[in-house]
Amino acid sequence: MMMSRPSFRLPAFDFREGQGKMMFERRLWRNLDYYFVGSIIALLLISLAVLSSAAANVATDPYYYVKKQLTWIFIGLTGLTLVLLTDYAQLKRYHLPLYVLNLILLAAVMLIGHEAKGAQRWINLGPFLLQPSEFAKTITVITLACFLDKRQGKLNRWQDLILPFAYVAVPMLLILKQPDLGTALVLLAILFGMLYVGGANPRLLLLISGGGLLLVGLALYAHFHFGLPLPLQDYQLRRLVVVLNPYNDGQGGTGAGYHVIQSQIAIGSGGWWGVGFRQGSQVQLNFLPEHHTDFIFSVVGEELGFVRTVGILALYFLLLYRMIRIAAQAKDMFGALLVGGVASMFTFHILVNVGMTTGIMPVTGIPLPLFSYGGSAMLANMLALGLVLNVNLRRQKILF
Amino acid sequence: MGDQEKENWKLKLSRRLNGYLAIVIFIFILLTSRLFFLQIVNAQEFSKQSAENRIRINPIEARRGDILDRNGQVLATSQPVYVITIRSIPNQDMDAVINNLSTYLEDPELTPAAIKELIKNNPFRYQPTEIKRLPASDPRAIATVTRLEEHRKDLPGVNIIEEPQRYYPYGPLAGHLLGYVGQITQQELEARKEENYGLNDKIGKSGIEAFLEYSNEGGREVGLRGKKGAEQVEVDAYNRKVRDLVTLPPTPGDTVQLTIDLKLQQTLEKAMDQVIAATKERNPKAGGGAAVVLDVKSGAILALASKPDMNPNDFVNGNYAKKQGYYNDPRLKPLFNRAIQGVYPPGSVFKPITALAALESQVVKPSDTIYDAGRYWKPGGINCLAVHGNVNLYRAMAVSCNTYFQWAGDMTGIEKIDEVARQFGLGEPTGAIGLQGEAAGILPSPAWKKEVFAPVWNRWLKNQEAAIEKKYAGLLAGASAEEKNNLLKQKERELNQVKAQYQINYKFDTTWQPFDTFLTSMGQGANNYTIIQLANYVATLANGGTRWRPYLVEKVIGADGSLKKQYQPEIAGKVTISPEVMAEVRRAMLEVTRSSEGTAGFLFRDFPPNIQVAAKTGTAQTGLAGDDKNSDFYGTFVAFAPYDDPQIALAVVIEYARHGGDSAGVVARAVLAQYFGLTEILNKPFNGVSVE
Repeated sequence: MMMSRPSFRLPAFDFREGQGKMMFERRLWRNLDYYFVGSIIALLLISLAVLSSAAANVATDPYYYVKKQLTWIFIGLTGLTLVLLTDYAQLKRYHLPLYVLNLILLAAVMLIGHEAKGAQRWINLGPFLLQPSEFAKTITVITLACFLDKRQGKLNRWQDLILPFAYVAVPMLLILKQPDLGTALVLLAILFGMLYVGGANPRLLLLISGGGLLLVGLALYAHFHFGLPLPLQDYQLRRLVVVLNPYNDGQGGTGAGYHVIQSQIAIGSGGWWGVGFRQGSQVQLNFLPEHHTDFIFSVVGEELGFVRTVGILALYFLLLYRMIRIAAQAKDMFGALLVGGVASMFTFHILVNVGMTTGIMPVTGIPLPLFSYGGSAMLANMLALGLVLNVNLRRQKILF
Repeated sequence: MGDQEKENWKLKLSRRLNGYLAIVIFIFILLTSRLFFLQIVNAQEFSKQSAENRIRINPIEARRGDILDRNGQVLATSQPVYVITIRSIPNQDMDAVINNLSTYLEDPELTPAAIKELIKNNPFRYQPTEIKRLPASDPRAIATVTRLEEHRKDLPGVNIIEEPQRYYPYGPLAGHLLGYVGQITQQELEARKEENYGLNDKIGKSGIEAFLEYSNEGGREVGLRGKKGAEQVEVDAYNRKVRDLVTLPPTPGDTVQLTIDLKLQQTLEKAMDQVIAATKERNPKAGGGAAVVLDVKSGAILALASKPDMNPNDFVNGNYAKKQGYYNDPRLKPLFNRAIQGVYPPGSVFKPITALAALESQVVKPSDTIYDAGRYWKPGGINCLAVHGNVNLYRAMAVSCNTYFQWAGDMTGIEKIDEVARQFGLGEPTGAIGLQGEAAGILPSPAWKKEVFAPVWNRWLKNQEAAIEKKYAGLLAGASAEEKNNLLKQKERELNQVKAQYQINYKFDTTWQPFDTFLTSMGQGANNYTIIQLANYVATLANGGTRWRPYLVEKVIGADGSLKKQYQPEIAGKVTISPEVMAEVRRAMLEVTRSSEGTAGFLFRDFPPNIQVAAKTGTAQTGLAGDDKNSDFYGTFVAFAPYDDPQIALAVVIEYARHGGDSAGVVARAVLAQYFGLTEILNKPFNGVSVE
């Protein structure tokens, strides 16, 4: 009913909808959520400023990473614009090809991947390294939205949930194999979030997630106390449990607990107003590793202080709040699912990343969206935000 | 889909999204609370930890003061040295760092395994481990340091510190009196709790280095040590200095000026080395020797040497470990300062004391002549080395006639000889300032003899009696009443027998015998003195009876050039012998070098007439177990000059020399020639010795 005439041409070149009308009408702009766009722009600008401090001592050119990130932001904005051109509903037609593309990319990592820091996560594309697992998140949001859209109202029994779980499990296992525990968990978060938005029984979801957490806890306990074999590297497991007491890492806080301790010292020493932009000793003197990527939030905490840090969290909250609002105003369930998936992805990233830097979440190597340095993540996030904006702009079913 | 249905899904969705929003709000409240807890509640604690991460307080070593000779020549100084250390850094692969360090050091001895061993042996686990020390003067030092600096990125945890290290430019020269510095020990640390020493500090261990290490004299700090400074610096995660925060400069240690004359010391040691080497060829036991040269008008020590050598550099640069065999030789004991710690039988150099006592007690006049038939005629008399015929004081001194001095001593009596010897400071430490561990020596006297031998015989008696008691206790236990009586009588007899034997031996050995006097008069017997005592007695005789306390330190000068402490000559005693008697004995000693038959006649013949040397040779039986009394001698020699206005006195011993004159005397000749600037004499080889 949304599409009166099916089209088999590529979406990017299809500028028409219905009876030969231009798909991207000027009047679509009237729907634009300025708060949503504003919060994105504000976060990107602040992130560049913070990055200029955080990455100043990483490369010989203090602005090397800022320049690279800026390039990725423009690539991301281009991608975002391209996503806006076509009605998101067209995506449903590419359900299967997208799902397969996702698996191919992830499998390719395993075969021709570039290895760094004990994991194989990148594909070398000459001028840059592509990280398919970052795109896997966005692609999973799209394909799962297609998948769940067809199963509306049929997600109440626990048997109904087996298929959606299996659907996500395939890419998830490929990601776990890299190994990239963090991203695998993001897929789970997306699944739970979208199931909830898509109408699955909330009690059932609560039961499964609670049971799952309990099971993971028991497994970890059994592993460290009784030697239960687990399909994860020991360093990953140690990082998970070290959150309970980072000084109890077997090396007096210089082993697996080091990151967590140094990050908390950085953030804690920030106080109300921070130690000053580009003045954070934990960051500038390298006591805190990975401070321009996964631990960039510690730089915010140390140099900018509590008030500004909470301000940045408020921007993220605004972003998420507007997403939820966009989902509520979506013209169809597919749109709502898309936005719900993106929101779940962002929420989980923020929770785990900020939680990790403040010492209440295990260190799983999840970047802070729109903030951490990283090209693939930036592009994937921008494409995801493009989807949200697409749903936002096309919230009215009937334009005339 | 109808309107109703549409409104239905919208409503449901909106309800779910409200729930979703609630979860997001909860998450953000959670994160904000955590931030509040870290940044507001615990901000102070984390700020402190952050500061601990980046701020280090490093001590800045104070430059240790120099030690100079009397003319300002540097005998001990400090030179910069690069110390390469390593410490473990969190999150670093130390094995890789160690491998890199080993590669860049290019020292075949410092393999990765050797470096790991050093780290393992570091007693302070959290302190950096010292890997290598490179004196800045070493041409390879700069290359190595540059190489390490270039590869800093590969060497996290490796640090190069420039610090002063003690350096003795003349090596073993005057090593015993300079001493050396070393790592402070736990005991020293505890004993000097008040003085702010640190675990890694160096401290003077012996000689002047220890004597003037540090003292607090009424709030004024004096010493070589100086005062450490400190710098507060900011470091990065690799422990590299990023910024200086606060610097308190150190105060360099005081400079110490000694009374030693470098040139004289060099001549002395060079001559000793050559004489000892020659002596060694004849007697393999040779190797030791000692000498002291004094200013007779003040007691200042102009030169002091002990052989074999002790090179203080070995103790600061780690060579000691390689030379342990040398330093721990149980017989030669190179660390032992023979000049003040060794006691030697003086031999004939004691004879002037006998002469002084005899003349002073007026039982002998210088012109009194006796006939030496080769042996002192009284029972217990000892052989002379030759048949000297008619001898008076002058001739007896010149030829060192044993018969004459046994006779003179016998006439005088041991009490008077002892009294004179004591007045000249023999048999007790001179109390020299700046020297530690002086030995007392032995001046034999009737009281001394009783004190030493009475316990020996008392012990003997007790052991004998105990043995008899034990023997009879056994026998009596198994005997009948009849036998018992017999046994008791027998025991009584045996006890009486032992007691009688004891009384005879005790009486003989604890009573001063005439031959004790004979032996003492000629410098044998139990006489045992340090070389500094002999030098000081000759100096006292030379200057007319003033016994100065020998001293080694002239003054202490602060880092700012101010005079902190001046050492003044100090009178230890004045002898009561009449000046005329002393003049006669000095004249007799002049005969030793001037007379054609004098024992030291050959030594100073070519000296100019205005520099006449008065001397006495000695050839003493060592008195040591294992030595042959007919071939193992100590060559001793004492002298002062110029005869008519004495300035300098000296005493020399060469172990296992054949004769005092041609061993120790040759050393004395070189020293005196150097002191009086007799370059011609110095330039020509004499008796196999050539010092210039």
